[in-house]
Amino acid sequence: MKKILLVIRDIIEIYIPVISFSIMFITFIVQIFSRRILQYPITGAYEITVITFTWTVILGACYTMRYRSHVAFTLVYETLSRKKAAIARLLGNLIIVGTFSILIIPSSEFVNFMSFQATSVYKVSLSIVFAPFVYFLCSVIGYTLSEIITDVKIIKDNNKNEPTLIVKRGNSK
Amino acid sequence: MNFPLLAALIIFILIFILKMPISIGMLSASATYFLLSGTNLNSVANHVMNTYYTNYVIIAVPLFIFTANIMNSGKITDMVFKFANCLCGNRRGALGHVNVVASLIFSGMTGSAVADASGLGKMEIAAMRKAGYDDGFSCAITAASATIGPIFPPSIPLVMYAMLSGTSIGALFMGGIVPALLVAIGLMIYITIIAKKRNYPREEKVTLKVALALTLTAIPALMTPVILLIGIYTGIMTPTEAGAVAAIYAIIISIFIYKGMGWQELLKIIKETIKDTGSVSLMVGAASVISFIVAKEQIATQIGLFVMALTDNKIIFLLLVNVVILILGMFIDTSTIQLVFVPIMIPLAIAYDINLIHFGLIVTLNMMIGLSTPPFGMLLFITSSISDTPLKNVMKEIKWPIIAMLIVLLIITFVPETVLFFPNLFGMI
Repeated sequence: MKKILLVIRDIIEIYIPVISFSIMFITFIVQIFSRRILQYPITGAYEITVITFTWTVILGACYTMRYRSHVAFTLVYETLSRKKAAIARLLGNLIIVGTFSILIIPSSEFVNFMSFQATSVYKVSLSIVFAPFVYFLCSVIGYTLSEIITDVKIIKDNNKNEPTLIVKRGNSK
Repeated sequence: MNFPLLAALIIFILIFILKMPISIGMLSASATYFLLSGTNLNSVANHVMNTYYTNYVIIAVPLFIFTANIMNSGKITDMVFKFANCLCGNRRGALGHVNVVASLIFSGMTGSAVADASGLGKMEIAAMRKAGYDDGFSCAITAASATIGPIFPPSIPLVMYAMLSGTSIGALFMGGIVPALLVAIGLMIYITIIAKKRNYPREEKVTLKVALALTLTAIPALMTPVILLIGIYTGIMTPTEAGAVAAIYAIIISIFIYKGMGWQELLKIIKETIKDTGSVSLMVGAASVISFIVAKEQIATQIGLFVMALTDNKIIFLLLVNVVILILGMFIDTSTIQLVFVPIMIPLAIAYDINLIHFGLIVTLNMMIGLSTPPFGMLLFITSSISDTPLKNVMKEIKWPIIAMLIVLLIITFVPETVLFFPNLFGMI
């Protein structure tokens, strides 16, 4: 069961964004070629690029979360001992889990509500376009909960009070 | 200050104490604000998703990240380095100059300081170490020269600024040419002085035959910025489409001409691009929710009134902006500065009648200086870690390159023509 879930997670967080990004990229190239060389603009190219971009970003953000590569400020955190750092991380993670949990239902309702609108060329429901946001909320909660479990274990273990290692910062550009 | 705003502000401050991912923390702060103020919580999803769905310009960001990743994994960086070496190998401290020239060429292809420092930088530092340069100096020059990347067109931060300010990306790209060249000249003057003082070596003189052969081999790589700039300024492609063209061109020359990349490698690059895009673009979406709160609470107006009560002189305002961004840049990541603080400054720049292209370049150069400024300049960390050089050695050497960049910052702040010359020349303003 766990294996199946992990495969599903890889499909959503790796393969779908890889395919989305590739489609977005190819659409750009085809659009430029068609407009400039064939003098024939493709009507729905804009729609394809914005939809695939939206999916790439949101599902890509889940993949980034898996590697803890989101940009974080660590100047204060790095001065803390291992246990105090775990407490700091735990507090931050509890805030994330709490606030993201309260977003799930309103966001699901919003995504559902958007089904009344569709894109103009391919008539894709905006519910489908915006749906990854709900998965994103659940994914962030999932990854953060696993960190919380680790932090609780560290806090319980009173013997290891050595300084924390420098935590890798994600890049921004 | 009302309670919901205070609660959101507390969470915003906690982001910086508890090592919460900044974009995720901004969404948490926004959710708290909406919950306590009785606003529908679906506003978070609404703002984030519509930011991506309606901002066509921002799509250029993953495309330029993709291009940068391709350039670094194929043999293109190698080619750029060899060509720069052939251009300035005969001067004293040659590899320092090569470092700057290579960054200038590379910046015309990717527009990313991190890509420059981590890809090209690795090669540059290794070559400088082998030739007997101090490691701290090599890392400092690599970090400083990498800041040219986002100033010279194309540029990822300038794309994001265009999205925030509604200015033309083409004009911003054009505006970046002179400041980038000035930074390069400033750094080369510094290298000349230091090279003489420390007696750094010259490289072997390259014969005309070798130089010609190297130039011919490098031509496909060197054509990237030419294709991009001509494409954008003749209107053949939009700056967003230029990102895609740059990427496909990089793929073609990497696979078929330089044979430095296979299809498996390409898949790895796409995965890496998705990871980087997730990080950068989520920040854009989260910042859009924060911007909504800032506008709703009229925070920008209040700050504006406060600043305008302090001074009605635009020169003092620009100095103030420079000082604030420099200080923020020492501690905070550039994307946070750009997406959270710059939107508050843009209406003020308009009120002071400052050209937004000029303002964009001042802000961007300033943020890039922040990337090399201790204690938290990311480029210092990157160059230090890729070369196993103690961070303190890099910090000791970065002082003068920073001063050179600050002089350029002052020049472009007080002489707007340095930025506006090319946009004016091409009728973009």
